[in-house]
Amino acid sequence: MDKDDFAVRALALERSLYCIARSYLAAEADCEDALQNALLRAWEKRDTLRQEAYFNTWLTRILINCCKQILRRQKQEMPSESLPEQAAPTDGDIDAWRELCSLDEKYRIVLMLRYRDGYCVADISRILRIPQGTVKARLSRGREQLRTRLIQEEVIL
Amino acid sequence: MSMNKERIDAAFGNTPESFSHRLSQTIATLSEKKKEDPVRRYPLRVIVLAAMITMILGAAGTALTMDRGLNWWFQGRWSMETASDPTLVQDIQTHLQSVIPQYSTQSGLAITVEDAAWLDSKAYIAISIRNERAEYEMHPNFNMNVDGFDDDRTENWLWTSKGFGVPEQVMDDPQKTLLLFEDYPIHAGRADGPILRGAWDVTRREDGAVQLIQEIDWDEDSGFRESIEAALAVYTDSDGCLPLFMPFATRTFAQDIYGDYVDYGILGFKVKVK
Repeated sequence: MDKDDFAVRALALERSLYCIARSYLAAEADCEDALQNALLRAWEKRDTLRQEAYFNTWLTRILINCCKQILRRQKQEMPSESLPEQAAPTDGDIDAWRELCSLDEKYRIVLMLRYRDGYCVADISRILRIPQGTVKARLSRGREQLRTRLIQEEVIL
Repeated sequence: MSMNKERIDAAFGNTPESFSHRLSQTIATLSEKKKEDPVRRYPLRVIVLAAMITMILGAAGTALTMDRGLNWWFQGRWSMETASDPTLVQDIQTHLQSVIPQYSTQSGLAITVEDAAWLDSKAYIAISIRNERAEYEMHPNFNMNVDGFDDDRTENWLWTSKGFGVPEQVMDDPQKTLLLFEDYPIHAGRADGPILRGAWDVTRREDGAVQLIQEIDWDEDSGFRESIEAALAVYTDSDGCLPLFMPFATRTFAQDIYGDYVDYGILGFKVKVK
């Protein structure tokens, strides 16, 4: 894969990469660092990508690993109570953001990959390196968690 | 909430310009010159590790003779044990018992214990497990990404006698479906009896059986020895056989994806200990 090809594919994935990074990291600057690390790592390892059809799942997986790396570093550097809150993006829909944030991380990322990015169960399994059965279970439980929260909110209102 | 792309997108607002800028800026800095040799299959660390193992073995000068095609395994991951006890490997192989009474918790299991050895004098146990279905090639799940560097690769790698690489390149028969065997601690006497503690390793033999070898932690101070000796006294039958129970699970792996579990349960079997 040459640089032009890599650039075209990465640029086409920009929005997806942003949403995934932002779902893990509270600060925009951290999202940018994770993106940069992921791109450099992917470029360096591009010869290990045997099938270019898997570019999207491959780069997404690398980005998630880079986000988790930043989170691990933050947890080491500061006690958990000092970690930044998962603040809503400035121009985002607050209600939709709250609903997403109400989900456990393991359900949120699976639902995002399925419903925002349109990945199939097999691709999500490849990205997160978890069995397909686990992906299906998390999709189902994530949807259930959303439904339950929604019902609770309606009752309170 | 209807979970769809528009709704999720709305939660994130617009992609910040700084993010887009960093993306294009990073791409602009990528250099073609850093491209690696496309024929290189193994990370540098693996090559260095392999070289170190070769050097250690060369220095030890240990010439082991054994059957079942496990030389590659013992001479690699077992180099320390074999250097300190040159007859260990041979002792394990010669003490293998091929008649193993079995009473697994489920009927119709296609996973069976092929042979086992109990080396009381050296505090080792060896157990070999066979998958009886021709469409699967069974390997220990432990040998998937055994180097711990899977985050540095784009694919999961399997360690076999053919090398360390993507499963279809190192399996005996890539036409078969890879079946990963997960073993759990072995209980002595009863399914809820004391656990055999200690360092262990597992691999696939040349004949296709997955062999697990465990050093039993015989430390006097741990209290563990007492519990195992009690199990030996209570549960060893008149033929000198001790019942053992090993929970296990198997799952498929194909096209770099872990599949669902195929088998799971408890393998119950007896090993001659006297």
